[in-house]
Amino acid sequence: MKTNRRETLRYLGVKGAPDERTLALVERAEKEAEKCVFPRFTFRLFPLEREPLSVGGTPLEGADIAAYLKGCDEVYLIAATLGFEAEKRINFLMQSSPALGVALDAVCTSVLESFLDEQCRKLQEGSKKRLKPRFSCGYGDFPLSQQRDMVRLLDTGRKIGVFLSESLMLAPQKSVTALVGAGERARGKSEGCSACGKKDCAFKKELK
Amino acid sequence: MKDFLAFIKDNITLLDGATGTQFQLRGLPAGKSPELLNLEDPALVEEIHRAYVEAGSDVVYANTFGANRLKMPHGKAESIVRAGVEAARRAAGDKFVALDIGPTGALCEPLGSMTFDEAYAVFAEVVKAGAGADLIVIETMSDLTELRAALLAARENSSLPIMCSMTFEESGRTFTGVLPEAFALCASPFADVVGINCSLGPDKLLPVMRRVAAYTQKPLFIKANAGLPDANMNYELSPEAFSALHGEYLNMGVNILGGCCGTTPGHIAALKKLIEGKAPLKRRVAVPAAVCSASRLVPLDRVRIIGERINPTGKKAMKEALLKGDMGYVAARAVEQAEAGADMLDVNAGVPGIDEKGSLCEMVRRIQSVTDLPLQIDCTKPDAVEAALRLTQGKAVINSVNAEEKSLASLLPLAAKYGAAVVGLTVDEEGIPKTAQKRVQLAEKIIARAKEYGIPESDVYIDCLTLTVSAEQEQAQNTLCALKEIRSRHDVHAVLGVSNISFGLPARGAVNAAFLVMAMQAGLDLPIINPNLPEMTAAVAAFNVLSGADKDCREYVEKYAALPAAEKAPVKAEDKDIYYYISKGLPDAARLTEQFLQELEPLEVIDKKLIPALNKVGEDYEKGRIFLPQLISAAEAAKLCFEKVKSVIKGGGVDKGDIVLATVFGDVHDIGKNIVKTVLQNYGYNVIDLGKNVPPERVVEAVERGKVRLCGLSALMTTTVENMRLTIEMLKKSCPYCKIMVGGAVLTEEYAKEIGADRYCKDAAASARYANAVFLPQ
Repeated sequence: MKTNRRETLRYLGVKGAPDERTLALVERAEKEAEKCVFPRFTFRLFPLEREPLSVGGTPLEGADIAAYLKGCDEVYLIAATLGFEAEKRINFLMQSSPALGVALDAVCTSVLESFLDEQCRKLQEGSKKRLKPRFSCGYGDFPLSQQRDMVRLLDTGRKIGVFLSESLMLAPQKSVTALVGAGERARGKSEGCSACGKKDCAFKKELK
Repeated sequence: MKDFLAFIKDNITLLDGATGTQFQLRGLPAGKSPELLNLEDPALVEEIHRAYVEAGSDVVYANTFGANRLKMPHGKAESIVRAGVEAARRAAGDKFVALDIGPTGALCEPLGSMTFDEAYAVFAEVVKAGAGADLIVIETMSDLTELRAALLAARENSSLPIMCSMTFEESGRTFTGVLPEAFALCASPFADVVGINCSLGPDKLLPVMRRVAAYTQKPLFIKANAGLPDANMNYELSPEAFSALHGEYLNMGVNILGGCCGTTPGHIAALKKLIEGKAPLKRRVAVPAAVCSASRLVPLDRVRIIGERINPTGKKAMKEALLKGDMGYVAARAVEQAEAGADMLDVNAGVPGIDEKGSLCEMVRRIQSVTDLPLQIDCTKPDAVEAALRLTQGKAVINSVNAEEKSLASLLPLAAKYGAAVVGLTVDEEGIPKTAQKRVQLAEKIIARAKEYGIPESDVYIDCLTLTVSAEQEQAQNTLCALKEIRSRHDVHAVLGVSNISFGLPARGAVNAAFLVMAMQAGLDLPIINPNLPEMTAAVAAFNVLSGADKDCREYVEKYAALPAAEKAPVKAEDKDIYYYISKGLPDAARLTEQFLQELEPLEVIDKKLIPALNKVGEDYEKGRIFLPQLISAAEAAKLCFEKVKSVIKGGGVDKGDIVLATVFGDVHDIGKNIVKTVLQNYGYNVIDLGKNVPPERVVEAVERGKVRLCGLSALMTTTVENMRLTIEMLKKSCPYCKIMVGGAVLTEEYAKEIGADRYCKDAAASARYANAVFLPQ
């Protein structure tokens, strides 16, 4: 399990150098995470169909996903989760020790992102094509409702235990689905926060 | 009509193999649901069934795995189910047709937002539409609540035999954390056959099957994958290799075999060869006495603590919380007892005038969302008990029946139906017997009646009743005597509420602890106590060491060796800056508060010391001098201070006002709401926390009930903000006096205005500021 303490602190809203007590708290949360985080990953490679733009017979809606997939001829659908134990532990700690609960929540978010990075790196290593940074439902005008297609095409319930609610929320909460475009001519670095339209986000990465 | 249950008694029985891969081999596109073919191309469906029948399957699963209304096109589910069963029937000839029921794809509470009743309705529809089958198979389940909903829907809407299986990972748990033992205990009361399917090859599932087998007397089945797939989705086990791995299963009495992902008619044919000339082996199992939740098994192999704190009797704060619907208070008591070492929790909603059934269910839901301790439903009203048992994910205990016929006849059938254990009070219409002998007689009557309903002795927990020793001194010995006698004569367990013994005496703790030890020596193994009292839990832990149950003293050492020495840096008299201690999150803040209480009136301590300190902390947060973790630590420290103040005020009335908080319907992300709650509580507000996934009506009801002046709502996503708007609309109509503050990831100032909220709060500090503006207008 890889953690990224800088990211954890960012999720906690800590700016600048953290004080000793905050560091100690994050360390405790990282120890908690080791006991309750069980990351799982699944993926499926699809040829990209055009007109309409689709994967596995399912059209992809919106201008932003089309722009993202420019230059791609294949798409990896991916899904990752930390599992339910982490969620149960966070729920428990939010009752008995909220500061630790909040810290564990932040640690888990950073673990999940690191885990996804690692898995995408592995996909890149196994491919001759260039893989783009991941793109998820809800980014830009790519509708959240396509989460249904992601979950169905990947069979996430059966493969890694990720479920979707009627209001389009993934369970466990620390779960992600995404598309990863691939192609000889695929281009693009991670645009990160600059690609997002939300202007008042508390988690916006500060520009260096 | 062929009798499936008779058939499996006499024959090793073959199920079918994978159908999904067979469809794909025949050109079904990867993203398409195979169930749609029941209507579009039934001939193709039949062809696949026929291949399995020819390979030797005695049972074919109809192509109905995902044919429920959540997964199928609107309004089509029932016709797809019917067509699926009919196609299987046409192909099956004289073989059995199973209605195949898979998961809904949505997740039940508390991990998801689907309610038990919603899941039940989805399954009931499938069960009724599939009435033409010979049996029902519920398979590939990973959540115990969903499995139980499916099982109940099958039992209550059909008389067909039921098989059910869950899917386990190599860790020995399902994705949602269900233990094999818990599955076996919870499925057996409803299912005729239990088993395991999918996920892994037969070799990897064998250890899981052994664990299931130890906890059920029902026939068993295995439907494993052909090993693991490679990157191109080719499975590793050939038919012969797959079949060879089933010898062990036959040896342990698993007499029903089949295949899941990656298996083909070839694999079934290989199994057919394996079983040729073999007769089914009979299993003999004595299921160990135990209770469980989905993810925790509590075997009754030593003294186990039942936590007594979730009971309003004689507890004013709990009573008030239940009247206000403040389930957050209930959840906090559950977590506290879990941390203190309770093995299960008693849950009692007995407040006069309350909707006991509704409250009990709400309590069960909330407790299960924060702990995995098994539950004891403390209620004697059959309809309330049954409603609570439906929601309890695990094997529960009913507390209690007594020896009166009316009680036995109304509650024992429920224990039998749901597979619950039952507490039997040794009392009847004539009251509590004065002699030990009569109590033993009553216990034996209960045991005998339970047996008539098929409830084994190991699931009957006899309560020989604790009487107050200061009033009837000789009764203490009678209780112990009866306890000892009944435990030596029968295989039952013994429950006892301990603390009643010392009522009316000084230094009650000493009497309670002594009585507890004496009772354990007499055979008490399920004391109902307050686990927050260290001397009581320590006595139990020590007893388990001395009786030899705690092997190598492992649990005892684990619990007590690591106990940290309490930090006791003295608070310096001159250093009375409460802000310092609160802002650093130091528990010493509480000791400083004690010193203040020597000098000031309690309310002055709050107004002159605690609130100014908290305001300063809030300011620090807003100015970016401290961050979320420190804000919450400060709130936790302040909470200890408020508790000190409350403890010296008679009636504890320091609350500045009630605030209702809820995460709206459809939304289960409640961490933000919980942060707000922690902070508000520590400004002295009484937070009525309705939890997550809360329907609008429940919010309105809670606000109306307490004429609450401020309500906070949270929502994470655009999809659930709609429910927030709806909640606000209903609140504004019914409770115009109530201000509404909202928060959550997608909300903004404008968005909040648009949906009619009075205030958008960007964080917990902002919500505290708004609360102060509402309740303390200057």
